[in-house]
Amino acid sequence: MASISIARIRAPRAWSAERGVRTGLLLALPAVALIAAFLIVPLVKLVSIALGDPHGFGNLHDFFANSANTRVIRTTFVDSAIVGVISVLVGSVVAWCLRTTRSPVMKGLLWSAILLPFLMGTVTKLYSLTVLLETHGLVNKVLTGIGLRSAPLDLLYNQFAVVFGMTYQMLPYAVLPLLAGFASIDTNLVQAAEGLGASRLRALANTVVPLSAPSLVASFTVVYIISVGFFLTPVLLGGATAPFTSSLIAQDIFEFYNVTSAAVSALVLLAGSLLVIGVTYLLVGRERLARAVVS
Amino acid sequence: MVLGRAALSPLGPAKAGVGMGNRPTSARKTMFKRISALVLSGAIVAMAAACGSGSSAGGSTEAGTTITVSTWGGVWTDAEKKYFGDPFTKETGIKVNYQVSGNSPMAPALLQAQSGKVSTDVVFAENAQVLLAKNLLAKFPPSLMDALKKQARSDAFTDYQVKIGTTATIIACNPAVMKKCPKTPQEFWDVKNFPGPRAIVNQSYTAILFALEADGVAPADVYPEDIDRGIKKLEEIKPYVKVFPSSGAEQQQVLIDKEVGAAIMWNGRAFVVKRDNIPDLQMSWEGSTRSDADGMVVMKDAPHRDAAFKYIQWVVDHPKNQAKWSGALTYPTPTKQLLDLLPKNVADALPTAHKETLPEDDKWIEEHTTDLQQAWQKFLAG
Repeated sequence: MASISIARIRAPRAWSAERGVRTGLLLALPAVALIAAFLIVPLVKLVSIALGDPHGFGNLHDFFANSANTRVIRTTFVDSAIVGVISVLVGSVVAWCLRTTRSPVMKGLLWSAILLPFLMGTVTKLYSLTVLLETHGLVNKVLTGIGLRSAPLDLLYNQFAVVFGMTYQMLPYAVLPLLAGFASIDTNLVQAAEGLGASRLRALANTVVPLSAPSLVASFTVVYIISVGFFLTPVLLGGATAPFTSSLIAQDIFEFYNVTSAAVSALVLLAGSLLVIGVTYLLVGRERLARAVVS
Repeated sequence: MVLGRAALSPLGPAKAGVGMGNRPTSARKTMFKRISALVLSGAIVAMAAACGSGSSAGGSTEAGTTITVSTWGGVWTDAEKKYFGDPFTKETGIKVNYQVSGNSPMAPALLQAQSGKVSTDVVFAENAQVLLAKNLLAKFPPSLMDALKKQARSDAFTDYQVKIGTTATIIACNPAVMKKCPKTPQEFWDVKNFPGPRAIVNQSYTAILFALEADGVAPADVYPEDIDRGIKKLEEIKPYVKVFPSSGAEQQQVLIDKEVGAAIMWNGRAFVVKRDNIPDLQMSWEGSTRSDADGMVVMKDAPHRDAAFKYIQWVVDHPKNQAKWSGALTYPTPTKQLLDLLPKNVADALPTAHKETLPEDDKWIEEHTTDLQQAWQKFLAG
């Protein structure tokens, strides 16, 4: 009797924590199918349009031969990098305050400062910024009203407006991963450094900064990657003369009906983003990057 | 959007597989069989759906059919639904689905044609010439042509298109912002004698047309446009142009917010600003241009072509509804009675009421799209 039951337990269909390769593949099938349908198919189509009619790889050459395109691509990457740097700088101050403060009022204020714009609709945010920045807007009215400026400043429809508006919207994306990174840092380290005679700044620079460097790089990357794809903000705050690559794509499709040119722009944008992800990957490693993105 | 939809179809089988993949108990063979059966049936259903709607092209006009109209959105489509779509559905039982593409109602149809599956029936095309050149339009049937000949002005239709919504681009000026209001293209370019912030519509061929006129080209000689000369003249004024609005709504907003004082903009949008916000707004038609290619067309591969013709015929046969639509937007409709049916202030605001307005050369524009694209994008980004 006993031997039979043991034999039964050891039958090939017995439970095991490790599943076979086939089961693994089967379990992964839905996810793989989803990725194939929503990522690979469109990507293949994108590449085939971009490098298809009329000139194949020559399309790329045509694209870069046009100074408008190279300028727009440069603006996109440079502005996004500026937004990334400012967001990380401001965001790390906010995140560190959140990490260290004991006052519930302060905590509440900081959280609402991060989450309110995060949850607000993009159009609402952009319209508020327009109301603030336009020639007869709030900021200029205050500046001229208290006599700081005799004539209103040009705050809207330029690069400043785009970077300002994007930074405002990207701050939460910088703060949240940084907060996750800071959470793992022992605040006693700062006290210890100060106890050993370091100034407050020196203490932060020698303890917190090196420990959080990977988080800083990762959150810069997150902000940067999202920023290069911005469309509404450059259109509404920057106007037609401060175009981003996505505005170029929209114009190609909706005004000039040139899908090839739009596809090439998209491809270049994608390549630029992948490059930055690749560099970050090399700098901070997969685990840290994933943690920053997921949180 | 269209690409996204095309990518959706493989999802059918993928979705079907989700439930099955997690069930480890049944024998593997059965599981494989079931999954492959599901995948297969999913694929068949997807194919059948694709072919099914394809083969019904030209199909029935009976009640319950829904036609798709690609249109401009906003006040335009509100009026379209109220005065055309709703009464049409009530009478015929054919439903109308309005799909908004605010920058260009033509773009979705073009993309659909490129991906090989047209789902739009009627398009409010901004330049029917582009669609015609690509051989994408259906020729109107004799019955519709007869109705047009009877009801519409002779310059308001072709074999492929009913001209409706002709839009002019004019010079508008708010005297509260500008000390002196520019009335001609030359004056608009004269920043010394007419100082103040300006806006120019973000539309390559229109901006170039005004620039050429400002540079001394007589309106009759503007076409074929000298793109380089126009861009050169535009570079002169660029530092004084605060905004190149990308939409009609933005044209209105920059005027209302006093961000700009003078604007080269669409007449209907200027009319609405004058009516609702700035009563003093000056509108000058000197040097103005109008797009004669705006109008309703039917796609050659439209899934409900006959119902689409019926919709257009209904509009043609109802001059009073056309007049109401016109009155809401100050854009003209094809009926011969239009001017009798409209109040005088609206009739005077129509592009067709201004004989000095130069019609665009749509064929030239269509043939030079690439040149215009490169020059215009270079100008804006530079």
